[in-house]
Amino acid sequence: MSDDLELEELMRSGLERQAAVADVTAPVVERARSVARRRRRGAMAVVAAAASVAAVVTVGVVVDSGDDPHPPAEDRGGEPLPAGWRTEYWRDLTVDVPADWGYGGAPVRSGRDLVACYPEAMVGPDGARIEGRPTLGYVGRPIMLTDVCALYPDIRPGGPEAPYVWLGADIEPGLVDLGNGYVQETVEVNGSTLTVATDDPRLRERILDSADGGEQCFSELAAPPSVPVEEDFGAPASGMLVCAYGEDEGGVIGLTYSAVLDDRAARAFESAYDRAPSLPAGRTCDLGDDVDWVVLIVEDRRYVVYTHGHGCPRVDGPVGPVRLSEELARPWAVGGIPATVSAGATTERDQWVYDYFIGPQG
Amino acid sequence: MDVGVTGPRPATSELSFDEWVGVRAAALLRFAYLVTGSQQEAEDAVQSALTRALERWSRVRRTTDPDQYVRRMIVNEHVSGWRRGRRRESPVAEVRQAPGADPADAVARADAVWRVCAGLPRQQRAAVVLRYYEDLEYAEIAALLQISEVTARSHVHRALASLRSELTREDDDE
Repeated sequence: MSDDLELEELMRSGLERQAAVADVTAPVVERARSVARRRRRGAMAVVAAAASVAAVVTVGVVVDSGDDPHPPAEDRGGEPLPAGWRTEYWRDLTVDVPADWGYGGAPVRSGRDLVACYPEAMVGPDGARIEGRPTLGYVGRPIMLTDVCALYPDIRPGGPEAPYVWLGADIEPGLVDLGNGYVQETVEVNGSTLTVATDDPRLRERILDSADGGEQCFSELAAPPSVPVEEDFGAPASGMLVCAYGEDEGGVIGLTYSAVLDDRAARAFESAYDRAPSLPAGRTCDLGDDVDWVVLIVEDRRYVVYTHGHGCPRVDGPVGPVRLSEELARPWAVGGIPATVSAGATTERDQWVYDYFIGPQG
Repeated sequence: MDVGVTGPRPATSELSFDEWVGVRAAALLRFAYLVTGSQQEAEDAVQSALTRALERWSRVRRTTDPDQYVRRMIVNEHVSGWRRGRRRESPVAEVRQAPGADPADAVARADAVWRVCAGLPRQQRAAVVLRYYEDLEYAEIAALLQISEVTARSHVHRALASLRSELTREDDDE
């Protein structure tokens, strides 16, 4: 019987021997070049987001095949996104949705109940708060945006008025006829649920087929992020990478939202950071818990935003922490951030945070 | 493993895609073959990963180790393996005989390694390949597979236990 070292050596030699069986003459490089060339040839350079989301550009999302507005999912598999679509992120799940959809709430466990707070577009695609748009499609996350909630599954008798995608909802996989022509389908992707409800089977299929694993940010963190940021997030070729994290009731710090913003947003943020006065050394606050963090990456510079900051919201960066101001938040607290990231109770002077983040009462 | 470029090597940030892929493609195919257990799946995974790397090369070469980036894409595409509409991957890898297989004890034991690996769940097999073929540390394996380091160690240790059992069974059969 081999001891552990012998077993390990045997494993190594066995794998080496088996690796030699692989046919390395397969023309994978040529095929890869051919696919890439085909995509570039048929490309139209567009910004793959709604016109009102001018500051948001997602990584690798600029081309359309030109001929087929809905290219088969098998041809895409993570390739450039067609015009009019954007990519949403949750843990290790990415999915493409129409770029003009807003943001709302998805069912989340509250005691023995499943509640959605609220299952309707409450934030527009650009991050602005909206009301009275029940027919606007939306992306929901299991986050309470408001203290007004609807009980699942009895959300809307008679069926929905708008299509939606729920990321990470506590719902079993399967199909549900919702009425009003809507069908809801839930699948599991890399440990998270993905729910799509539409009255258009082709749209539902399109969205479901776009689901993939995430590469833009880490799907989970072992500990709250801090500066210096130890995890190797990499950096976008240009602009600013935004990775938002939230801690769930199980203590898991998971990715809740991501986007890549343009150079203008990156410059505005870093300019505001450079001008902001440093927080006094040794100053700490001890009010409430930190449950949300946002990691911002510009080239090789890393920042961590503490929207709670134990009562003192702040931004920590290459030259130390500064108080989180509206000027610092404005460039990146767009898109889905106001529907995803919360801010804790704060002072009178910091009431502006509730224009950009979820407040204690929603 | 295949050896990289000999002599002075340009910094990764200066490497063109052609320069990099010219010396790494074979190694990536072998790696993918071990992870997927299938020549066809390996080619598909490597082609897909190289296509994405090529389209993002300016970023990939400046911000990360291209090998790590592509390796991660290969592993993620295979380990996820849930996609609707795609041919369902068999959880059991191909068991091909290496050329010149003979009943010599050393060869038989090496074949036992692949029989064990071929029967492992995808993520566990990936962890074993990353540990014993790519020689990664557990922290690197955990980061690449996006699992905890504890889970990475557990995957590898359970695979070794499976190998020990297989060898014991073979010894008892003799």
